[in-house]
Amino acid sequence: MPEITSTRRRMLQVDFFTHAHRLSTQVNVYGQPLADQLNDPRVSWIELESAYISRIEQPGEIIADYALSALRKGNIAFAMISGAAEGAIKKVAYTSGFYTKRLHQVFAATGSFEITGHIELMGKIDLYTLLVASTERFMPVLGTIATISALPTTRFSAGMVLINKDALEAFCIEEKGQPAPEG
Amino acid sequence: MARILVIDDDLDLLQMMTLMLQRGGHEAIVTGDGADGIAKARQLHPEVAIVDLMMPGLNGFQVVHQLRHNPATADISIMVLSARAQLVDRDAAMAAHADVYMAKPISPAELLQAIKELLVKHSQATLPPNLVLTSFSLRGGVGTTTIAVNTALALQQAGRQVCLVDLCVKSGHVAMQLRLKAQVTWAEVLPQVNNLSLEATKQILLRHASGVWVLPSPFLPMPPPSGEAITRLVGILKPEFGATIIDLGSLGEGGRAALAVSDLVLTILSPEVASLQTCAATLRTLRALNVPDEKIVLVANNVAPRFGLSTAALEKALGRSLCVNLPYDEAQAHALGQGSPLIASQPDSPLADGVRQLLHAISPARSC
Repeated sequence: MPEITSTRRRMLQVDFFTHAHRLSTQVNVYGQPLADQLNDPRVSWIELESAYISRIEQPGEIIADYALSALRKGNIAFAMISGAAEGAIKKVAYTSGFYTKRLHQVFAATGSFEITGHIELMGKIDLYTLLVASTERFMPVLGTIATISALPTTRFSAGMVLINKDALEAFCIEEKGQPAPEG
Repeated sequence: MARILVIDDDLDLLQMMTLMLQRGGHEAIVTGDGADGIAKARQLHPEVAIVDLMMPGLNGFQVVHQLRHNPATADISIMVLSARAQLVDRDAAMAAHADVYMAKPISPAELLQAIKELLVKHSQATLPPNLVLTSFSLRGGVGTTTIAVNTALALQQAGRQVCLVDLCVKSGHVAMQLRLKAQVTWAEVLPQVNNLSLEATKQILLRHASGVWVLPSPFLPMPPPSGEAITRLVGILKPEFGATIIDLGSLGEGGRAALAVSDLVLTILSPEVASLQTCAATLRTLRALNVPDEKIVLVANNVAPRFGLSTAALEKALGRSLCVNLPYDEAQAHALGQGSPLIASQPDSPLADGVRQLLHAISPARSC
């Protein structure tokens, strides 16, 4: 039996977190995965549909909602995708080679959040490439738990978040990692 | 089975929910607007409201708040169903006094199961706090004991402390259906009515694995207990137990006393001519004994599609509505043999479903 879910095509349910607010919203990912929209350097805003706004101190409470809104990408701490990651990032087909994909545990601190999870990398870790040289502004982190630093009991979990590298204050990574599951 | 109101601004989702709820045997009322949802809840009084959180205008929290703070809608069971799927969202929904929180996406099976649990909880909450319920028919063979046993276990599952009394004078089957061995029965205690006490009664009660306490009937035929003894027995049990279920085998003096002290009398029939005739006689007898109509709950048991008299024919002949149809369940014969009631051993069986429907139907909010 199919799951009962929103049947609106190509709309992705996303929670955007800034340092002051949580915006629960839908993003049209018909033409472009969310990561591509966020990483597009030509546009500094992202358009949202039906944004439901909460203050970060009371993230369960909706204080306002608007049918149309836009969010400045630079002020996003991270975007949280609750369901399947489809529509969030492009699926990359890796060819088998010398290096294998490995999952590395990470800890990231932004101004208001502590984020733990895993990132998928091939080969030796190069923090400069990962954080500075790469043109992708938003970095996917899998199996994530985000904690509000000032309210450590308030946590958010998701299969994937896209962390804004410009919002990072600290980034720590486990060196060795574990082989990533196939697929 | 139940009337369900769905309030969600996603119109495609409303269509799917309507289909799923109807397939589950429910009546679906849907709206895409919070304010309209509140109006519909006041007007149609559904048993369950499924409320989305993220809706324009009135959001889900505001809808839940208004439903809970209006006496006309305060007792509606509320399920919050939202794509805001974090723990903080669940906590916020529960703090707003929703009964259950479910995250989207949800499968039809999960949805229907959650509704089933809500309905049981709802009926449990609205039944009298110390319910005395008697299962009765003038003749045997229609499942009076099976219904008493399964109802007792269903109430126990719903969190009540239950005592099941087998008042049959000709070798009752309650203990057998529960695979309990009766050492001492009411035949040993009820005749000494003056010595009857809570302590003395508790000593002879058997405890079933489900938690239900059982007062078994004697194996050999016995003279029926006196009315005074039954009145006193129920007077002792009622304050102690959340529900006292009586399987009434005969209409002696004690049986009449049991009917008099009962809050509800399940009157059981099966959909065939002989049982219909017995049921008509039972109803006439109950009226003659001044059992008020509102206490009588008509239950058709062993109802099979395409066989036997239709519900409409039964209702026309009896001149009143059936409260619930309990389906014929082929697993029941095995359950009897194993001493393992279906409500516990096969909770998804048709009969178990039917018994939960019965509890739902007899709650005052529904009052069949």
